[in-house]
Amino acid sequence: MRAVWSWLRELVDLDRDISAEEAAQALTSAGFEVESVTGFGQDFRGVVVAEVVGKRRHPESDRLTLVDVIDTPGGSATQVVCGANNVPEPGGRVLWAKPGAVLPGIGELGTRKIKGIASPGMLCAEDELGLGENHDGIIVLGKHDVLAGTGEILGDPHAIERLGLRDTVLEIGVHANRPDALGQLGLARELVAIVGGRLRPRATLEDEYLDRSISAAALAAVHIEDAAACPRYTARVIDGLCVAPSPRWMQQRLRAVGVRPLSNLVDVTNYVLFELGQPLHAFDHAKVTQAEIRVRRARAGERLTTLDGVERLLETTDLLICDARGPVALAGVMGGAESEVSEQTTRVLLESASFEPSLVRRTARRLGLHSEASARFERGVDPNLADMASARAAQLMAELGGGRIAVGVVDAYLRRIEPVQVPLRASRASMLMGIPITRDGAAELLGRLGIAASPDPEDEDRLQVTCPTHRPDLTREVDLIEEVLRMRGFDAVPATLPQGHVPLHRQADPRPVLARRALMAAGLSEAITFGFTSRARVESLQLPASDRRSSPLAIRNPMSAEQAVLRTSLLPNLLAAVGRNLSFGVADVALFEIGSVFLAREAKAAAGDEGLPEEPVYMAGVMTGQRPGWLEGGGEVDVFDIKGAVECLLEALLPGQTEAVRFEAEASIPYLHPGVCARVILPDGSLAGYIGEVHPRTRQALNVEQRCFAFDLSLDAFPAPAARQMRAVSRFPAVTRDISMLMSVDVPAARVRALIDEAAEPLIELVTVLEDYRDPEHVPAGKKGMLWSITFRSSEGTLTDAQVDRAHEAIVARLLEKLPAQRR
Amino acid sequence: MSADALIARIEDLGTQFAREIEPLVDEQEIRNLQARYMGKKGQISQLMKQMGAVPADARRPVGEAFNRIKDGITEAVAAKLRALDDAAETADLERVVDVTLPGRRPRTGHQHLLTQVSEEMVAIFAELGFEVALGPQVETDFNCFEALAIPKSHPARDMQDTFYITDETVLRTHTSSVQIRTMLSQPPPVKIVSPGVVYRRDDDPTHSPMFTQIEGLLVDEGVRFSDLKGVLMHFVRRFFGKSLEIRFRPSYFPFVEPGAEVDMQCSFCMGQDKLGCRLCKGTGWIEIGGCGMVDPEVFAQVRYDSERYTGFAFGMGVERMAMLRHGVNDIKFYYEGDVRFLRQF
Repeated sequence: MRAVWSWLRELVDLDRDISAEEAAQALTSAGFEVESVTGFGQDFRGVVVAEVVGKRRHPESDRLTLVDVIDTPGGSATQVVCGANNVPEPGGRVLWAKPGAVLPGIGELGTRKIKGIASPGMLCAEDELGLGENHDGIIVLGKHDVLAGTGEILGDPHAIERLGLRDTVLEIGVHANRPDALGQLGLARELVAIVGGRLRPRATLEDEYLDRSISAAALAAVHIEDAAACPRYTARVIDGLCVAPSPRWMQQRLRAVGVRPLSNLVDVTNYVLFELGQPLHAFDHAKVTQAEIRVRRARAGERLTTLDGVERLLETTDLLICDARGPVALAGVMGGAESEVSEQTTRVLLESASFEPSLVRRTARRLGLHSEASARFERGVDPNLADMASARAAQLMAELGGGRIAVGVVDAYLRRIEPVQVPLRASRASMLMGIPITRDGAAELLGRLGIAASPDPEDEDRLQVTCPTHRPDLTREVDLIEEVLRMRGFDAVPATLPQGHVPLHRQADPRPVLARRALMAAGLSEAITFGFTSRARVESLQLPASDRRSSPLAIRNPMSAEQAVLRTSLLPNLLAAVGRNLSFGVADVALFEIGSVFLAREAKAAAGDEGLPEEPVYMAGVMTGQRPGWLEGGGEVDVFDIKGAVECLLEALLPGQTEAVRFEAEASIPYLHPGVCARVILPDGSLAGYIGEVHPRTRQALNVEQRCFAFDLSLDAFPAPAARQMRAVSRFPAVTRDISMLMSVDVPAARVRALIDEAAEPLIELVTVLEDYRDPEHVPAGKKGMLWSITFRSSEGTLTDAQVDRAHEAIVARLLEKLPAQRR
Repeated sequence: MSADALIARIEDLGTQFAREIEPLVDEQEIRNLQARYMGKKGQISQLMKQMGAVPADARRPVGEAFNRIKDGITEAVAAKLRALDDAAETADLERVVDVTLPGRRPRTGHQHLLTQVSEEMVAIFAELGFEVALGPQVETDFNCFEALAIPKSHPARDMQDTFYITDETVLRTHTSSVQIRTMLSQPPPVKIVSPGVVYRRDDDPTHSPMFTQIEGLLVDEGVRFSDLKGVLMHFVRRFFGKSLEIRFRPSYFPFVEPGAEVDMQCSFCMGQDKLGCRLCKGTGWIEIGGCGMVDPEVFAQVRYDSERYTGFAFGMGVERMAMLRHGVNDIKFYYEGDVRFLRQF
């Protein structure tokens, strides 16, 4: 919402004179944030009002006119050369930029010869002053162009201000609960409350503009069929109008608030909207069949061409203004094309009404028709404003359009809105705010806003507050407490700390923190990617239709295809991040993410939480490029790097149990390499997820042009970790023995390991693989050499060679017996 | 052999040992040499077997000679080894390494800045007794709006343009939905903070369609607006480590009354640079969030007694706090997974 400073000032008498900047600060501190202070007409200097006293053709040019002008009453004339074709006859008044004047985009003017004749300065067109785009001719002042003051304007040093061609504009953020402040009047009320002063009473209809021979009641009829949807509808009729441009000050003010001036009649409706906050509509009376207004809901299938020329298919939730034939306007949203005022209009039926906010909102949203009018009706327009606004507009139309107003108003006020009485306790206000507030103090503060508050005779703590109808946001005690505080100033609130003691209820889930820490220790950095993704990215996983993850939940109103669906796996966005890094030449990437994925439930249409998707938390990681290494280089990352990271993760989430986690070869995960993939089975037998090399088709779809390894594990699969318990640490020395075997490449390491474990030798402390050796020059085809190392230790004493030999040989014998293997 | 001859023989061995150890430079050879003399089958041990032939009264000087020579050998070995160690150490100290070559650095993982900041914010509120409460990102319209006094027809729905999944399910636009879930699940008092990602249809250098919020809620008997100011001031001072002031400006959120926008003193210029400060644009203040006293309408929705209990709620953007403290100048960096960004924190 924009406020024009002089316009605002017209509506109030303030106790002290303040600048627009001071007003901006005051409004901001009261909750009306002034986002900017700008203006118009600030870019030119030295331009005066001049009167034409003579004119003749330039001897050298048909297009040029020599104009004699004076800039003080009775002053001596100066001859100016003018190229416009609308130079007025003597007596006409124009704007003259004298030598020394500065114009935007032109600079300082001097005296210049035009086709041999000197021209001191120039007569100005609108665009030369930076006021508009019009360059059709010079500005010729009309009889309505003087906005303010009564004296002779010729020679007045404040002439430009009096014409309303120079002003300051405040851009103000108005909150959704304050529809009253969507007009200069509402902001003026706030200014009075903060600065002190009073609103100027509005002028009533002036007799000279009334036509007593005609009455509104005879010229229009109003029937409201849905009083819930339209509490009040008023109609006035203005006759004998002549459509013309509106005065320049009005055009400037409308431009300043963001509206394009059209013609006097339409401009007046907009002007009053921005002045008082009441949207108005002017119908061409001649086009309202039988001059009958009927307010009703639309019938299914009904159509209306709105004044933007678009035919609209209506629904029964739309509220219509109809005449005897059918729809003429979408109530509160937009007028119809057929009944709008045109250049031929001479008689106007002026609507000033109020409509149910939710209906206007629904229609405006459905049709995408957001107008200044709908914005106000959606928030709520005080029905008690309708008549005043109608009178103001009728007066302006009659004045500017040369017409007369029919006597009276047709006022269908079916659902009267009365001020609400709300009690206010000073003690409650004090308690809630944490500052002492007295009853008298509260009454005084409310009074500044024009809100009447009288002491309750039966309760010395209580005020009876009458909430004015233009403040629909005030319905409860707490609303009034806010107003009291707002007037007192939010800065009056001290900083205190809460007094009460609130018992603890919740234990934070330690798993994400543990997992994050472990993965960072393993060298992966945390990424956070969007919860939504594109269908193409989901499809990159190549999941079969039977997999829930292949059917993501769609966002109904996405901002782009990249954000069209909710992610069902962390991997696509994470792999896309890898691709992005690669595209920037960052080739060594190790990322992880811990976050929710979204899976639709099987059962549809359940309400409440059952209607929400599942949001399991997953942990995913990706690695690609080179291991960190020194001058010699670290070598290319492979699946054992990502597995190592997962082992770190397991150690954090399943302390002491990682040996019991199984990695089983898996060839059927469509987004992982069939030969380089394992499912991860937790000690309780549950499947936590998968690790492996990313399938080439998956990674290519996500622009990852090099081998990449990933894991994708469910955090929810891991039990809440119990406090770690210390295991005994032996104080005796360890003995290590190795076994070297030759065996088929088909024997997985896990099989060897399982056989060793099954021996259940209590002296074993640690089992490690030292070598998986497949060099064809040294090992027969289809065979591999494996070197295992077993560390023995006792917690009871130093082991003897005999003890170790016995234990070790038992294991070796077992391996050779159970495996197709031989000693090397 | 006579005692004298034996003694002479012993002393010869001592001399011989001294001669043999002289050129040795290897510890193992020295040990071997020592063993050849002093080991069980060593020359000295062999010689000692002849003690039996010496008359008892003459054994004493022989024994003394044996001990003298054995001590001498032990001492010579120790001295020789010490000398070798010293030489090795001296030689080792001759080594010169180009210490300007880069270190052998392990790959370090970095925690995302938003996680760091979010955890830190939660920890500061935990100091004041706030617990963490979490909730789903896809929410019911009721928890996200209706219960927060934002019915479907409410103009405030335009304030935070919402992503819809169905008519009744949305991507939460704030974590206030967690406040509703918490209040519905337990009686007062309640003291929680809810960190989490939220979604709004907004995309420019300062807005991301997904971003992270931390919201707080305290409901108890006697909770005051001034307590809200105190809690937020504590937070701001702890987070920035500076004695910053905060101020409230009247604002409007349907679920609080009174509602306020929270500004803190500019952490960059401390409100001193009235013209040049890029962060506060010379105003001296920076907006950090919204807050207010819980609206009685919200209490009615969760069936709390709004006469007995009062409460406050506040919300802040984690991206914004990170931006203010760490100078992140485009919100997109947080979500691109660019290693060059992630590694900086």
